[in-house]
Amino acid sequence: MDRIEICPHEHPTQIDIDTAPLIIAPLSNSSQNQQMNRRIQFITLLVSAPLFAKGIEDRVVDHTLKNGLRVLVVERRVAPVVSLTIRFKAGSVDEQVGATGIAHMLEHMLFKGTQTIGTRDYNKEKPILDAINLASVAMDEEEMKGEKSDKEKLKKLTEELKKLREQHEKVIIKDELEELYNRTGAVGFNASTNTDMTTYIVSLPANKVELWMRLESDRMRSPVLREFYKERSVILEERRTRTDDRPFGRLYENFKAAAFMTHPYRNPVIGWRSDIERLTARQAESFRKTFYAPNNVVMAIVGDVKAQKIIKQIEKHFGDIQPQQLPPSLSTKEPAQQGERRIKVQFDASPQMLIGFHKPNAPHPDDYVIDVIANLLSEGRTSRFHKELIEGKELAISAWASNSWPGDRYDNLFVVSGTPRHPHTLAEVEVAVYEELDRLKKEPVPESELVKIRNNVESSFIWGLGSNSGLARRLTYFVTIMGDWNYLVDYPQRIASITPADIQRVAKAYFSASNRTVAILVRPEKGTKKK
Amino acid sequence: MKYCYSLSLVLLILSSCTTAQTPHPRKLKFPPLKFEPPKAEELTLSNGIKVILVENHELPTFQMALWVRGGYQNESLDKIGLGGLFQSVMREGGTKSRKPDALNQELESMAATVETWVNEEAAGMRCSSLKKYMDQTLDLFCDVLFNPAFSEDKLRQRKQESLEGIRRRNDRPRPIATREFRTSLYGSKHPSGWRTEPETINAITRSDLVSFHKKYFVPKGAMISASGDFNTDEFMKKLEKLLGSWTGEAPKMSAPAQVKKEFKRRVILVEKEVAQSTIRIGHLGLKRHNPQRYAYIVLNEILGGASFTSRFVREIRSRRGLAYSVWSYFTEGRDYGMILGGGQTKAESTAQTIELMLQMMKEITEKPVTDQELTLAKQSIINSFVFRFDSLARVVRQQLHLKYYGYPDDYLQNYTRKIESVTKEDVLRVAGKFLHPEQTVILVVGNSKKFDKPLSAFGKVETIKLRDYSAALKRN
Repeated sequence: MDRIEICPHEHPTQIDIDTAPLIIAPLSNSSQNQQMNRRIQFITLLVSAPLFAKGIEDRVVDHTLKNGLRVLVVERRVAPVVSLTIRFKAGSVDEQVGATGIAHMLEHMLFKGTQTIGTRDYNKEKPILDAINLASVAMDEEEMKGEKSDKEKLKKLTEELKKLREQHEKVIIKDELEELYNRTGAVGFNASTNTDMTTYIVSLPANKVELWMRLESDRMRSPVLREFYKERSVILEERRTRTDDRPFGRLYENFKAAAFMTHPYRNPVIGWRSDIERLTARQAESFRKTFYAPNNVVMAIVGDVKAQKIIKQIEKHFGDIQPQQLPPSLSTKEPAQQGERRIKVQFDASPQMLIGFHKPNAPHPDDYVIDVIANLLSEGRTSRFHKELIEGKELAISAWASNSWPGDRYDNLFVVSGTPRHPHTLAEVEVAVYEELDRLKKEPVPESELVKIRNNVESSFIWGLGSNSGLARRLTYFVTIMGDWNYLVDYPQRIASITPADIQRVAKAYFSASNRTVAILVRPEKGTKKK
Repeated sequence: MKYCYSLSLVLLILSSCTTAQTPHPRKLKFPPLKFEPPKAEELTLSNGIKVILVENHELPTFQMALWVRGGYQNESLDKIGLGGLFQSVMREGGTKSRKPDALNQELESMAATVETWVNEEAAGMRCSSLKKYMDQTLDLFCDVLFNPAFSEDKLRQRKQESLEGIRRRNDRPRPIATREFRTSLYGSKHPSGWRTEPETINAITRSDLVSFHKKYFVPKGAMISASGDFNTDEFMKKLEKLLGSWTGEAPKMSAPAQVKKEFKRRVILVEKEVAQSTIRIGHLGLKRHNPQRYAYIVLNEILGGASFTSRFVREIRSRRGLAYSVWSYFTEGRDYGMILGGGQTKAESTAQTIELMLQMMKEITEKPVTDQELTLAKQSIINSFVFRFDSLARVVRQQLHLKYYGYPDDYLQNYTRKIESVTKEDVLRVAGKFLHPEQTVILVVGNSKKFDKPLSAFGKVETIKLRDYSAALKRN
């Protein structure tokens, strides 16, 4: 409703990052919640013919440019608006040792403009920018020496940087990119980074698509990573909010690093603090040059548009961007876990826990089965966790299971979270969780529970077609992960084919003590220092 | 009426750099957007319930919402939390003929939802399902509406969970800041400022829930919104059959507490060992329906409502790197709403950030905003107006909401025109009238040992000691 009558939730942060994974697997717990929200926010519109009559698979126009850029268009003429999504297959999993957080840092930098946006004169700006970058790196180097740093040199550099920044301020136009979008009535101009990909989104009145073509092709071709070192401070603030001061953030960061030994899924998307503090504009530029190639992009345009016209426009604006040789895929594999891992995170907050089991990623057949298991355990008030842990034994105020953490591009984790209700303990919740997992191994799941899940999947799929931005997001997500949006279309059928025997087999195969990581958050012991 | 968004609104700002042969994106011209905001039909059931509905045949689904007159604002002070418990137990406690598990089972096997809700000023229900389950879902909706069982057992469980929530309420800084700031403006006896405590939760009984239901869930003043794959006539016949004979007296409501309107500088510190300070700065603001709200909407957009293009974000985040999140907003309600700014910054830049926010609040009361700021804010609000109609479900929900809270029928028709007519002088005038930077409440949750300056720089510091719940929650 009115922007002023929204409930006073915390500020809608502008540039979003998913430190918790972006979950779009159609079955997972939080995607269902998002789905619920979407139900309430967006549904449907005036159309003469029912859209549903024609399957979604016939309505997606799927086109690949000569340079490898892939475009999906869905005409959905329900209001004169359009949602536009661009995904680069480049996430924190693609980062190098010592430069964690660079994918997310780059995402922030892409809001700073290009050679024509955000500057009064790029030719004048360029030498100032180069000097700032040099001085900033020198400053970092000197600061890293700690006690031994040359105070005189630091003072000189500080003064030099101050002068340079003053000069720079005079040639730039602050936040011009967002200004251009805002004044055309854009909503939801934002981006997000997760382990697997970086995503840029916006919705526009349908008559403004040309602006998007211009701004986004420019941004893909020649962004200028200006004001990098200031943005680093912003990201450190973001890290404090998301991780340092947030109990779940702390727990999750530690949990991942324990569950993954070799695979980069162990690293936080936002980056380790000491890495963020020393990231350089050069590293960001090199990451961009490596991964922001048209042959590493999928975009979706959903709304009141004409597909053929859109594709012509895309050809015109993006067609001349040169493709690149992408780096070979990651060779590191997480070795099979050899025994349970348990860690304790001390933090001044009430107890909670995460339990993770390694398993293969989608579209492995077992991944579908684990989606069903997650649904069975924690979707809705009839789920087993709700009935047993929350209402039956009254041990927990919250307990959920979710598949595919922290990402979908590589083998990942099935995760269970539990939050005990005093005086019950984490240990009691943990035992109860294992009882439910063991039940899956021993007892075949009754047909009625499977029917419920099939109906829920069917229903989610149908409701999911009622939002431009949701559709754009889902289609591009699956193309980025597995090169094919048909995963989405085939999903209900695949789920329907899962049998009670499949569930027993998969539960036995993955839910073993030696394959699990348990992380608990507890208050610091008395007498020790808090932080 | 028809809206045409065209370039007539757009002020072309000359840019100094247009090197390429293609014009700078600033100079792009767009075709006009022809758009007629859809209006849903408003019908009435025989018992007076207003029904706002629209057919939508895109997908085989439907959804419906019912609003009744009554919220938690009339709760008694020794039973704070009644609205929250009512909201859960009315639905989760089952009905006279359906045990809680049976009701859940029936709904979830169809992937249908029926939910109840209560907020400060209103209460209601909503439901949704695929078309093929519409009749069953409506039956269950009515069963919950008319025959909730308010199971003692579910009430006991939800009370235990509320108490666990209280035990955990000080784990994270932001909820502390939000809660304590509200109390600082409204006091602990006003529905916008009060909070649940173990004593108030423990005092709530099943009979309180039963009387809450009896008192507020009546057709007098109730409204329904619905959209979906149905035929209007048939749907209305169904509703008439299900709800037309529903009767009940209008709720007698005692006047809820009124906030005392006063402006006074207060500096409040909540000590917490965290890396980052959570800041809130503000005071009371506008009541709903204040005619000056349009100018204030524009003001807020410029001050800290719009993301990067607002003054707060540009100065504090973008130019100085002091915050990831910094914003301003305002609320409007039955009573005076809040005007506030907030954000988070590392402990070491707490005072600096507060100073900047205060300074920008002050500046906007003293100097007119620039033409460029005014134009951008207005264009942004006006051009994004179309998104208020981007789904038919939203259209009916919005229409109901406006009607429920007594907005004029032509509110949406006039909205963009009223925004368009706001001038720099209007913004300056409402800034002077509603913003009192010298008399703000400044609240910080943080580790004061690490602040760049003691908070006493802003006034006498009151330190809030968070309640230790270990004794009160021992049993639970």
